[in-house]
Amino acid sequence: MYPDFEGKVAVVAVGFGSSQTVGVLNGQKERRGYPGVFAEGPDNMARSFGVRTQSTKFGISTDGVIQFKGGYGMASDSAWRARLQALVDS
Amino acid sequence: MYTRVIVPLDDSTTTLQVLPYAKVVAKSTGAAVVLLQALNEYPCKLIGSVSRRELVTRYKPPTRSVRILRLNAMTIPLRFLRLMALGLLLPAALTLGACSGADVPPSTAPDTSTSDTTPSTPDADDAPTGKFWRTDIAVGNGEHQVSPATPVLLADGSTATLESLAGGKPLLLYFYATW
Repeated sequence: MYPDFEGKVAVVAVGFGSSQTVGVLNGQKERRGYPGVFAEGPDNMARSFGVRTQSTKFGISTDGVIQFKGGYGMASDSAWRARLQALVDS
Repeated sequence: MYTRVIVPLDDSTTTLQVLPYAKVVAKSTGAAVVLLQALNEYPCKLIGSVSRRELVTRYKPPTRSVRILRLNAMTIPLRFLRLMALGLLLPAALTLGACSGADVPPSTAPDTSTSDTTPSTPDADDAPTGKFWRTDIAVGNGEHQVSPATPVLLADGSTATLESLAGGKPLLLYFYATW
């Protein structure tokens, strides 16, 4: 969605919910041509990240520090760009 | 206490995962359960892979009653308002709550305060399995904490940690669902 950040930010999508296996996710990734890595987390992953809704996103800097965390519809397009740029600059 | 629990379902088997949780709520409160499915078609047509029998079989009614309503666009407003007046609507949050759970208190990373706390900047040529993330501040799930470096399963059957997948770059971690 933001090609200007391709190669600058690693994108990892993990399945939310027990039905969202890596096979299911990768099927959709291939059908829709999504970039990034799609993966399946352990059962307690959503809990350990304090995630309650799908589409929650974490921006994590190069040193592993969480810069932002938000759910569905957390920001506008321009706000997303600003967040991604801040992530790159962090 | 609750007297009626309404469980909205779509036409997929995925949403059936909520039934055991609805059952727990209904069992503990003695509430009746309404399984609600809204359809776009008009006139109302029973479609899809989830039959009434399957719903009842999967749910295994534990309490007073289970009603299964299938509503279409023409019937939703009046009947839905009536249901709202009669009972309690448990939205999709029930599904999501069942999938996630309470926050886990952040754990503390090993104390490395005596060492250099400034993380080194990884070289571009570093292998993606290198160590990049700080260990001098707490691991947690909030802003300004270090993310858990959780291992995840990849499509090829291998596992990798989030840290290694980031490979020294900033990481956008997305909790994703195909539904």
